[in-house]
Amino acid sequence: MGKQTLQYFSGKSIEMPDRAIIVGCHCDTDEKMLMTENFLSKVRERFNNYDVFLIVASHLSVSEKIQDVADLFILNKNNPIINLDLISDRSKTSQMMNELWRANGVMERVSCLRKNHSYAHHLLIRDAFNFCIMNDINHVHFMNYDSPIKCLSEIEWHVEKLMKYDGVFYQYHHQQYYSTEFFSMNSKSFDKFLSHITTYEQWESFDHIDTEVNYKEFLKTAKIYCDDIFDPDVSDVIGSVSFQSEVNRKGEVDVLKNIVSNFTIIPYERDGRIVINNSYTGFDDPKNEKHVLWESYDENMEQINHLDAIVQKNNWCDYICPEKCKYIKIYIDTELKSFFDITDKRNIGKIE
Amino acid sequence: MRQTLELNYGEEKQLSSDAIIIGAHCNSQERVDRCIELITRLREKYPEYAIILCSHISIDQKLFDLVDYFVYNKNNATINYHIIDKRLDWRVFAIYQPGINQEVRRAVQNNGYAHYMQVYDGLTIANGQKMKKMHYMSYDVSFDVVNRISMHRDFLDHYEVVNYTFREDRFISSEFFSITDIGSEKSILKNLTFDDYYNLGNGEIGTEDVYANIFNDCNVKTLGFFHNDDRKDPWVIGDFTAMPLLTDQSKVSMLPTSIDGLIIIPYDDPNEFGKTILCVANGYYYENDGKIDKVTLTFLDDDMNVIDEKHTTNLGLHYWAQYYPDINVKYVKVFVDDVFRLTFDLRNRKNYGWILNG
Repeated sequence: MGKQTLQYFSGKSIEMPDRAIIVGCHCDTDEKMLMTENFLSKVRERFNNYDVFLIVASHLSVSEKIQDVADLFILNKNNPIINLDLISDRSKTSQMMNELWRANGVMERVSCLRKNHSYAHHLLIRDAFNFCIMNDINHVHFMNYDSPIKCLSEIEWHVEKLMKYDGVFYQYHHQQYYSTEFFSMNSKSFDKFLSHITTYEQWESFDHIDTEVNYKEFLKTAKIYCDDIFDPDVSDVIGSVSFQSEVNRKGEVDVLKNIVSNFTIIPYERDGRIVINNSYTGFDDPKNEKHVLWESYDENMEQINHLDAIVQKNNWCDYICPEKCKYIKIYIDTELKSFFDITDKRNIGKIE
Repeated sequence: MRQTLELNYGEEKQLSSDAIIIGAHCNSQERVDRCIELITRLREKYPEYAIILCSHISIDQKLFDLVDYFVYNKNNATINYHIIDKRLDWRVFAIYQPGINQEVRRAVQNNGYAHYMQVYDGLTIANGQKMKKMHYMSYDVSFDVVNRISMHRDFLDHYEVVNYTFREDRFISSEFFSITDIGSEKSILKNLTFDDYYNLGNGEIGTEDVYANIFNDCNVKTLGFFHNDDRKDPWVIGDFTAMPLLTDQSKVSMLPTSIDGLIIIPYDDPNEFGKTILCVANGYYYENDGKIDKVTLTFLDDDMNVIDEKHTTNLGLHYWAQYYPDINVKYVKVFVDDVFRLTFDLRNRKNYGWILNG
């Protein structure tokens, strides 16, 4: 099968190239939109559209600029979050927990279900790879929008490896898994090993839910060249943005994602009151303390109260929500980081 | 086995097995509004169906909000613009100028292949998601289409393709049809290159020619003309005339061979090297019945400064006028009946025609 014709001049055809870069993005803030635009510009500076077909895949809408830089943009609105939209017996075992030593020496645990976007991430990758499969684009490089520019020089040797291997990955988590922030695969190999994973039931069929673990499982019979950690001097995490709470571009109420600027934030119920536990847990955060401000609002968005605190690293504090409180805004170091509905049961954890 | 939308222990909601694929080219607010109206009506009637919007131009937030999938494929390869070949350039728009004993010609652009690619992209998404029944339509189809989908769906229990004839029995409409996953694998998803497309049309390049042959291996239910009343041209399902090139009022556009019946052909002045002559004529346009009251051309330099402006009024059907832009003119703005239509690059050779003497 041939490829899409881009141009044709007197019997000579220019077709879609045999290589594609897929950039997966999630521009829920203006900052991330700008980051994506900049990253795509760098890709385009380095590779023209006759050499590398540039695909942007997303669960959210993007700016016109992003659409125009890309050769192809695929939006899939379905962005199901595990333990929010997808709840199973397996997913419920994935939890987050803060251990709280009270002043009276009693230790309590607050916990909540860990929200995870791994399946949605796979759907995004799959959408773009599927296009490559159907358009006979053989060598495909996937990278997230927050990847370092260094990825663009790495893909040259990836192509060489793809002549002999199904895919090229980097180690993740003590050499046990594959990083899925940046990798390359032949589209036929993706079709063989990963394309058939469509439902969530299939996604957790190996009793795991994280992308890095699952891709290692799904690809166990594939011929994979797994390189060292991408940047051994930094960490096995390739991208600069982690899955955590942000106030979306429209400033709308969202579900609380429990990681908020390196705090683990878990609301729980005690004696009929809702309490928000805020634990400063970020081990690699350079700051030793952070300023937290809570604002509470009633159902008409009238402010009820506000309170602030300085929280030391590895320490925590509780904010007791006032009566008739419906919405909460949390600012970390004066930046609004979370805006959620405290009466939404999905935001509430438990205490033991 | 399609992607999961929601799961609450045993209760799972998956992406629909039915997809509505809309091919759009919303390069004006009027067209955006029309597309929004169509999708809104489809959503009301078929809330469970997945809606896949395919376009060769970017879209705005309003359209994003309405669809489940959006595919923007920048490849809008237009015949006789991006695709140039001896097999194709005999189809010309010609302005006959008996007074000066010449004919100005320009090869007719055709968006058939680009249109076909939109369908291919939509089916790629749908088949990739293991959907079973797909209903393709252009964004400007008659709203009567909305009520036909359930009938098509029922037919797809017994057929692989449901479609309509166009003009004559030997042509098939490409504006609205339904197809199963198996039908699409046996037809459209097997043919991707321009040569594939050209061969399917047996040398013709219209989508109606290609669609008349592409389903030969499928079990097809053809329902005659879309409209059954005594209207003129009952085979026409869409409302907007295709303007094959990527015209954009906010940017410099490529120059289509016809702007709603107004033919514009720049060509090299045979008597003065390096100079361009701009010939305009009133071809026929169905929607305005060949009536063009006023044509205004504004000539601009490299920095978009106005150099000159020319008007022609009451340009009768098949009448022509000719202009001799200054050598410093780089861009031309075109207004038809005082409505701004586009800006084109006078130095872009792809916009040029040629003269045939005698």
